[in-house]
Amino acid sequence: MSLQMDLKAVETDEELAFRAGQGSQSHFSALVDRHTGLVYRVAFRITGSHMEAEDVVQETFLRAFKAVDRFDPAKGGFRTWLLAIARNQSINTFNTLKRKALRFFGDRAGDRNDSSSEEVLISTQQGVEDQLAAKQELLAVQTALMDLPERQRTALMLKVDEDMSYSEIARIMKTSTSSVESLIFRARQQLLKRMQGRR
Amino acid sequence: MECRKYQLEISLLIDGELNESSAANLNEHVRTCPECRAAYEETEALNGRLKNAGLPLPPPALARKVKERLAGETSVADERALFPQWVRVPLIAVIVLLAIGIGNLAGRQMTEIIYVAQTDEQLEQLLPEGGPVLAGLLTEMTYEEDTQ
Repeated sequence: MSLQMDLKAVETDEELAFRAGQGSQSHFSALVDRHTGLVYRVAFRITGSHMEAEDVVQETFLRAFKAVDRFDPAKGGFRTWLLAIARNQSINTFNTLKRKALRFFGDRAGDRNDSSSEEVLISTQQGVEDQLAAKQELLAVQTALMDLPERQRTALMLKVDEDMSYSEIARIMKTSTSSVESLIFRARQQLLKRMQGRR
Repeated sequence: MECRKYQLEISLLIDGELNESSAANLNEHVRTCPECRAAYEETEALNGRLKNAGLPLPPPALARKVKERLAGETSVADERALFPQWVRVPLIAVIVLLAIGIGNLAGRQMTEIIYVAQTDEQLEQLLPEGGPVLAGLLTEMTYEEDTQ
Protein backbone atom coordinates (compact mmCIF):
# COMPACT_ATOMS: atom_id res chain seq x y z
CA MET A 1 0.00 0.00 0.00
CA SER A 2 2.79 2.46 0.92
CA LEU A 3 4.58 1.79 -2.36
CA GLN A 4 1.34 2.39 -4.28
CA MET A 5 0.86 5.71 -2.51
CA ASP A 6 4.44 6.71 -3.37
CA LEU A 7 3.91 5.85 -7.03
CA LYS A 8 0.78 8.01 -7.15
CA ALA A 9 2.78 10.87 -5.68
CA VAL A 10 5.19 10.88 -8.64
CA GLU A 11 2.69 10.23 -11.40
CA THR A 12 1.67 13.20 -13.51
CA ASP A 13 -1.88 14.50 -13.50
CA GLU A 14 -2.39 13.04 -16.96
CA GLU A 15 -1.19 9.59 -15.85
CA LEU A 16 -3.50 9.69 -12.84
CA ALA A 17 -6.39 10.84 -15.02
CA PHE A 18 -5.78 7.99 -17.47
CA ARG A 19 -5.93 5.42 -14.66
CA ALA A 20 -8.97 7.13 -13.20
CA GLY A 21 -10.62 6.92 -16.61
CA GLN A 22 -10.05 3.19 -16.52
CA GLY A 23 -12.02 3.02 -13.28
CA SER A 24 -9.46 3.56 -10.54
CA GLN A 25 -11.08 5.65 -7.85
CA SER A 26 -7.85 5.79 -5.85
CA HIS A 27 -6.11 7.53 -8.73
CA PHE A 28 -8.91 10.05 -8.98
CA SER A 29 -8.68 10.58 -5.22
CA ALA A 30 -5.01 11.48 -5.69
CA LEU A 31 -6.12 14.16 -8.16
CA VAL A 32 -8.63 15.45 -5.62
CA ASP A 33 -5.88 15.75 -3.01
CA ARG A 34 -3.66 17.60 -5.44
CA HIS A 35 -6.13 20.09 -6.82
CA THR A 36 -8.75 20.84 -4.16
CA GLY A 37 -6.88 23.99 -3.12
CA LEU A 38 -6.54 25.21 -6.70
CA VAL A 39 -10.21 24.65 -7.56
CA TYR A 40 -11.28 26.27 -4.29
CA ARG A 41 -9.18 29.40 -4.95
CA VAL A 42 -10.58 29.82 -8.46
CA ALA A 43 -14.13 29.22 -7.25
CA PHE A 44 -13.72 31.69 -4.42
CA ARG A 45 -12.30 34.38 -6.71
CA ILE A 46 -15.24 34.04 -9.05
CA THR A 47 -18.10 33.60 -6.57
CA GLY A 48 -16.69 35.72 -3.73
CA SER A 49 -18.23 33.28 -1.27
CA HIS A 50 -16.56 30.75 0.99
CA MET A 51 -19.65 28.52 1.17
CA GLU A 52 -20.36 28.62 -2.54
CA ALA A 53 -16.72 27.89 -3.33
CA GLU A 54 -16.97 24.68 -1.27
CA ASP A 55 -20.05 23.62 -3.22
CA VAL A 56 -18.36 24.43 -6.50
CA VAL A 57 -15.39 22.27 -5.52
CA GLN A 58 -17.70 19.31 -4.84
CA GLU A 59 -19.64 19.75 -8.06
CA THR A 60 -16.48 20.26 -10.10
CA PHE A 61 -14.88 17.03 -8.96
CA LEU A 62 -18.14 15.17 -9.33
CA ARG A 63 -18.48 16.26 -12.94
CA ALA A 64 -14.81 15.60 -13.59
CA PHE A 65 -15.14 12.12 -12.10
CA LYS A 66 -18.03 11.29 -14.42
CA ALA A 67 -16.21 12.64 -17.46
CA VAL A 68 -12.59 11.65 -16.76
CA ASP A 69 -12.75 8.73 -19.21
CA ARG A 70 -13.27 11.33 -21.94
CA PHE A 71 -10.34 13.55 -20.88
CA ASP A 72 -7.95 13.95 -23.82
CA PRO A 73 -4.42 15.11 -22.89
CA ALA A 74 -3.79 16.01 -26.55
CA LYS A 75 -6.20 18.92 -26.10
CA GLY A 76 -4.50 20.30 -23.00
CA GLY A 77 -3.38 19.38 -19.48
CA PHE A 78 -5.62 17.94 -16.79
CA ARG A 79 -5.36 21.11 -14.71
CA THR A 80 -6.65 23.18 -17.64
CA TRP A 81 -9.52 20.75 -18.22
CA LEU A 82 -10.43 20.69 -14.53
CA LEU A 83 -10.39 24.48 -14.17
CA ALA A 84 -12.58 24.92 -17.24
CA ILE A 85 -15.18 22.79 -15.43
CA ALA A 86 -14.62 24.73 -12.21
CA ARG A 87 -15.04 28.05 -13.97
CA ASN A 88 -18.31 27.01 -15.58
CA GLN A 89 -19.64 25.83 -12.23
CA SER A 90 -18.48 29.02 -10.54
CA ILE A 91 -20.11 31.25 -13.14
CA ASN A 92 -23.41 29.41 -12.82
CA THR A 93 -23.25 29.78 -9.05
CA PHE A 94 -22.20 33.42 -9.23
CA ASN A 95 -25.04 34.28 -11.61
CA THR A 96 -27.53 32.59 -9.30
CA LEU A 97 -26.14 34.55 -6.35
CA LYS A 98 -26.38 37.79 -8.32
CA ARG A 99 -30.02 37.14 -9.24
CA LYS A 100 -30.90 36.36 -5.62
CA ALA A 101 -29.01 39.42 -4.36
CA LEU A 102 -30.73 41.67 -6.90
CA ARG A 103 -34.11 40.42 -5.76
CA PHE A 104 -33.40 41.16 -2.12
CA PHE A 105 -31.02 44.09 -2.26
CA GLY A 106 -31.84 45.87 -5.51
CA ASP A 107 -29.21 48.17 -6.99
CA ARG A 108 -26.97 47.95 -3.97
CA ALA A 109 -26.38 44.23 -4.56
CA GLY A 110 -22.87 44.86 -5.85
CA ASP A 111 -21.92 46.64 -2.62
CA ARG A 112 -23.03 43.80 -0.39
CA ASN A 113 -19.97 42.24 1.15
CA ASP A 114 -20.24 38.56 1.67
CA SER A 115 -19.94 38.24 5.44
CA SER A 116 -18.46 34.80 4.92
CA SER A 117 -15.29 36.53 3.71
CA GLU A 118 -14.66 37.01 7.44
CA GLU A 119 -14.34 33.22 7.62
CA VAL A 120 -11.79 33.00 4.84
CA LEU A 121 -8.53 31.61 6.03
CA ILE A 122 -5.44 33.43 4.93
CA SER A 123 -2.09 31.89 4.31
CA THR A 124 0.11 34.39 6.16
CA GLN A 125 1.68 33.42 9.46
CA GLN A 126 1.53 36.52 11.67
CA GLY A 127 0.54 37.87 15.13
CA VAL A 128 -3.04 38.82 16.00
CA GLU A 129 -2.86 42.51 14.97
CA ASP A 130 -1.07 41.64 11.79
CA GLN A 131 -3.63 38.93 11.14
CA LEU A 132 -6.40 41.52 11.47
CA ALA A 133 -4.61 43.90 9.11
CA ALA A 134 -4.03 41.05 6.69
CA LYS A 135 -7.72 40.10 6.81
CA GLN A 136 -8.72 43.69 6.13
CA GLU A 137 -6.34 43.86 3.20
CA LEU A 138 -7.73 40.60 1.83
CA LEU A 139 -11.23 42.01 2.21
CA ALA A 140 -10.26 45.24 0.42
CA VAL A 141 -8.63 43.31 -2.40
CA GLN A 142 -11.52 40.85 -2.71
CA THR A 143 -14.09 43.68 -2.69
CA ALA A 144 -12.25 45.50 -5.46
CA LEU A 145 -11.92 42.25 -7.42
CA MET A 146 -15.63 41.53 -7.10
CA ASP A 147 -16.35 44.90 -8.71
CA LEU A 148 -14.61 43.71 -11.87
CA PRO A 149 -16.45 41.85 -14.61
CA GLU A 150 -16.01 38.11 -14.06
CA ARG A 151 -13.85 37.58 -17.14
CA GLN A 152 -11.38 40.27 -16.12
CA ARG A 153 -11.27 38.99 -12.56
CA THR A 154 -10.79 35.36 -13.58
CA ALA A 155 -8.05 36.12 -16.10
CA LEU A 156 -6.14 38.36 -13.71
CA MET A 157 -6.32 36.02 -10.70
CA LEU A 158 -5.36 32.94 -12.70
CA LYS A 159 -2.20 34.89 -13.48
CA VAL A 160 -1.61 36.39 -10.03
CA ASP A 161 -2.68 33.46 -7.83
CA GLU A 162 -1.63 30.54 -10.03
CA ASP A 163 1.07 32.12 -12.24
CA MET A 164 -0.40 30.53 -15.32
CA SER A 165 0.70 31.49 -18.80
CA TYR A 166 -1.66 33.55 -20.95
CA SER A 167 -2.05 30.60 -23.33
CA GLU A 168 -3.18 28.29 -20.51
CA ILE A 169 -5.57 30.94 -19.20
CA ALA A 170 -6.93 31.29 -22.74
CA ARG A 171 -7.61 27.53 -22.89
CA ILE A 172 -9.37 27.55 -19.52
CA MET A 173 -11.51 30.51 -20.52
CA LYS A 174 -12.04 29.23 -24.05
CA THR A 175 -10.80 32.42 -25.62
CA SER A 176 -7.73 33.77 -27.42
CA THR A 177 -4.38 34.78 -25.93
CA SER A 178 -4.83 38.34 -27.19
CA SER A 179 -8.19 38.45 -25.44
CA VAL A 180 -6.50 37.37 -22.18
CA GLU A 181 -3.88 40.12 -22.64
CA SER A 182 -6.64 42.68 -22.97
CA LEU A 183 -8.67 41.28 -20.05
CA ILE A 184 -5.71 41.36 -17.66
CA PHE A 185 -4.64 44.83 -18.79
CA ARG A 186 -8.14 46.26 -18.33
CA ALA A 187 -8.53 44.53 -14.97
CA ARG A 188 -5.35 46.17 -13.73
CA GLN A 189 -6.44 49.57 -15.01
CA GLN A 190 -9.76 49.24 -13.18
CA LEU A 191 -8.14 48.06 -9.96
CA LEU A 192 -5.63 50.88 -10.00
CA LYS A 193 -8.47 53.37 -10.13
CA ARG A 194 -10.41 51.64 -7.34
CA MET A 195 -7.60 50.71 -5.00
CA GLN A 196 -5.51 53.84 -5.05
CA GLY A 197 -5.97 55.49 -1.71
CA ARG A 198 -7.58 52.42 -0.09
CA ARG A 199 -4.45 51.45 1.83
CA MET B 1 0.70 59.93 -26.81
CA GLU B 2 3.53 57.61 -27.67
CA CYS B 3 3.59 56.08 -24.20
CA ARG B 4 -0.04 54.88 -24.37
CA LYS B 5 0.99 52.10 -26.72
CA TYR B 6 3.44 50.87 -24.11
CA GLN B 7 0.83 50.54 -21.37
CA LEU B 8 -0.38 47.10 -22.52
CA GLU B 9 3.19 45.95 -23.12
CA ILE B 10 4.11 46.90 -19.56
CA SER B 11 1.38 44.53 -18.34
CA LEU B 12 2.85 41.78 -20.57
CA LEU B 13 6.37 42.54 -19.37
CA ILE B 14 5.40 42.16 -15.73
CA ASP B 15 3.72 38.82 -16.53
CA GLY B 16 6.73 37.51 -18.44
CA GLU B 17 4.79 37.28 -21.69
CA LEU B 18 7.14 39.30 -23.92
CA ASN B 19 9.89 37.65 -25.92
CA GLU B 20 13.45 38.45 -24.99
CA SER B 21 13.96 41.11 -27.65
CA SER B 22 10.71 42.98 -26.94
CA ALA B 23 11.33 42.78 -23.20
CA ALA B 24 14.80 44.26 -23.59
CA ASN B 25 13.49 47.12 -25.75
CA LEU B 26 10.70 47.92 -23.32
CA ASN B 27 12.99 47.77 -20.30
CA GLU B 28 15.25 50.30 -22.00
CA HIS B 29 12.29 52.58 -22.73
CA VAL B 30 10.96 52.31 -19.17
CA ARG B 31 14.39 53.21 -17.85
CA THR B 32 14.38 56.49 -19.78
CA CYS B 33 10.68 57.48 -19.80
CA PRO B 34 9.30 58.85 -16.48
CA GLU B 35 5.68 58.29 -17.46
CA CYS B 36 6.23 54.65 -18.43
CA ARG B 37 8.44 54.05 -15.42
CA ALA B 38 5.66 55.33 -13.16
CA ALA B 39 3.16 53.06 -14.94
CA TYR B 40 5.51 50.10 -14.55
CA GLU B 41 6.05 50.71 -10.83
CA GLU B 42 2.35 51.26 -10.23
CA THR B 43 1.43 48.00 -11.98
CA GLU B 44 4.14 46.08 -10.14
CA ALA B 45 2.96 47.48 -6.82
CA LEU B 46 -0.61 46.44 -7.61
CA ASN B 47 0.58 42.96 -8.51
CA GLY B 48 2.47 42.74 -5.25
CA ARG B 49 -0.57 43.90 -3.31
CA LEU B 50 -2.76 41.26 -4.96
CA LYS B 51 -0.21 38.52 -4.23
CA ASN B 52 0.52 39.62 -0.68
CA ALA B 53 -3.16 39.86 0.28
CA GLY B 54 -2.99 36.13 0.82
CA LEU B 55 -4.53 33.17 -0.88
CA PRO B 56 -7.96 31.96 0.16
CA LEU B 57 -7.48 28.52 1.69
CA PRO B 58 -10.04 25.72 1.62
CA PRO B 59 -11.28 24.20 4.88
CA PRO B 60 -8.92 21.36 5.90
CA ALA B 61 -11.56 18.63 5.51
CA LEU B 62 -12.80 19.66 2.07
CA ALA B 63 -10.79 17.11 0.09
CA ARG B 64 -12.03 14.35 2.40
CA LYS B 65 -15.66 15.47 1.92
CA VAL B 66 -15.21 15.41 -1.84
CA LYS B 67 -13.80 11.88 -1.76
CA GLU B 68 -16.62 10.68 0.51
CA ARG B 69 -19.18 12.07 -1.87
CA LEU B 70 -17.46 10.44 -4.83
CA ALA B 71 -17.46 7.11 -2.98
CA GLY B 72 -21.23 7.47 -2.55
CA GLU B 73 -21.69 8.24 -6.23
CA THR B 74 -19.65 5.16 -7.13
CA SER B 75 -22.01 2.90 -5.12
CA VAL B 76 -25.00 4.25 -7.00
CA ALA B 77 -23.18 3.78 -10.28
CA ASP B 78 -22.37 0.15 -9.39
CA GLU B 79 -26.06 -0.55 -8.73
CA ARG B 80 -26.96 0.99 -12.02
CA ALA B 81 -24.33 -1.14 -13.76
CA LEU B 82 -26.02 -4.29 -12.41
CA PHE B 83 -29.33 -3.12 -13.80
CA PRO B 84 -28.64 -0.95 -16.82
CA GLN B 85 -31.41 1.06 -18.44
CA TRP B 86 -32.03 -1.50 -21.19
CA VAL B 87 -32.74 -4.16 -18.54
CA ARG B 88 -34.58 -2.01 -16.03
CA VAL B 89 -37.37 -0.81 -18.31
CA PRO B 90 -38.54 -4.21 -19.64
CA LEU B 91 -38.00 -5.76 -16.21
CA ILE B 92 -40.27 -3.19 -14.60
CA ALA B 93 -42.81 -3.75 -17.39
CA VAL B 94 -42.81 -7.52 -16.77
CA ILE B 95 -43.25 -7.03 -13.02
CA VAL B 96 -46.17 -4.68 -13.58
CA LEU B 97 -47.84 -7.07 -16.01
CA LEU B 98 -47.39 -9.95 -13.60
CA ALA B 99 -48.90 -7.90 -10.81
CA ILE B 100 -51.87 -6.99 -12.97
CA GLY B 101 -52.25 -10.58 -14.09
CA ILE B 102 -52.10 -12.00 -10.58
CA GLY B 103 -54.46 -9.33 -9.34
CA ASN B 104 -56.85 -10.14 -12.15
CA LEU B 105 -56.73 -13.83 -11.40
CA ALA B 106 -56.86 -13.55 -7.60
CA GLY B 107 -60.62 -13.21 -7.43
CA ARG B 108 -61.40 -15.92 -9.95
CA GLN B 109 -62.37 -19.43 -9.11
CA MET B 110 -59.89 -22.20 -9.89
CA THR B 111 -62.19 -23.72 -12.43
CA GLU B 112 -62.03 -20.50 -14.49
CA ILE B 113 -58.26 -20.34 -14.38
CA ILE B 114 -57.30 -23.95 -15.04
CA TYR B 115 -60.17 -25.65 -16.76
CA VAL B 116 -61.19 -23.06 -19.36
CA ALA B 117 -61.66 -25.71 -22.09
CA GLN B 118 -63.86 -27.98 -19.99
CA THR B 119 -67.69 -28.16 -20.31
CA ASP B 120 -69.89 -27.13 -17.42
CA GLU B 121 -70.72 -30.75 -16.51
CA GLN B 122 -67.06 -31.75 -16.43
CA LEU B 123 -66.20 -28.75 -14.29
CA GLU B 124 -68.97 -29.55 -11.82
CA GLN B 125 -67.53 -33.03 -11.35
CA LEU B 126 -63.95 -31.82 -10.91
CA LEU B 127 -64.57 -28.90 -8.60
CA PRO B 128 -68.08 -28.53 -7.18
CA GLU B 129 -69.29 -24.92 -6.92
CA GLY B 130 -66.31 -23.72 -8.90
CA GLY B 131 -63.69 -24.50 -6.30
CA PRO B 132 -61.78 -22.05 -4.14
CA VAL B 133 -60.51 -18.73 -5.43
CA LEU B 134 -56.79 -18.36 -6.11
CA ALA B 135 -56.34 -15.66 -3.42
CA GLY B 136 -57.92 -17.95 -0.86
CA LEU B 137 -55.58 -20.80 -1.75
CA LEU B 138 -52.57 -18.50 -1.39
CA THR B 139 -53.80 -17.25 1.97
CA GLU B 140 -54.27 -20.80 3.27
CA MET B 141 -50.79 -21.75 2.19
CA THR B 142 -49.38 -18.79 4.11
CA TYR B 143 -51.46 -19.61 7.20
CA GLU B 144 -50.22 -23.20 7.18
CA GLU B 145 -46.60 -21.99 7.14
CA ASP B 146 -47.24 -19.59 10.04
CA THR B 147 -48.84 -22.29 12.20
CA GLN B 148 -46.10 -24.88 11.67
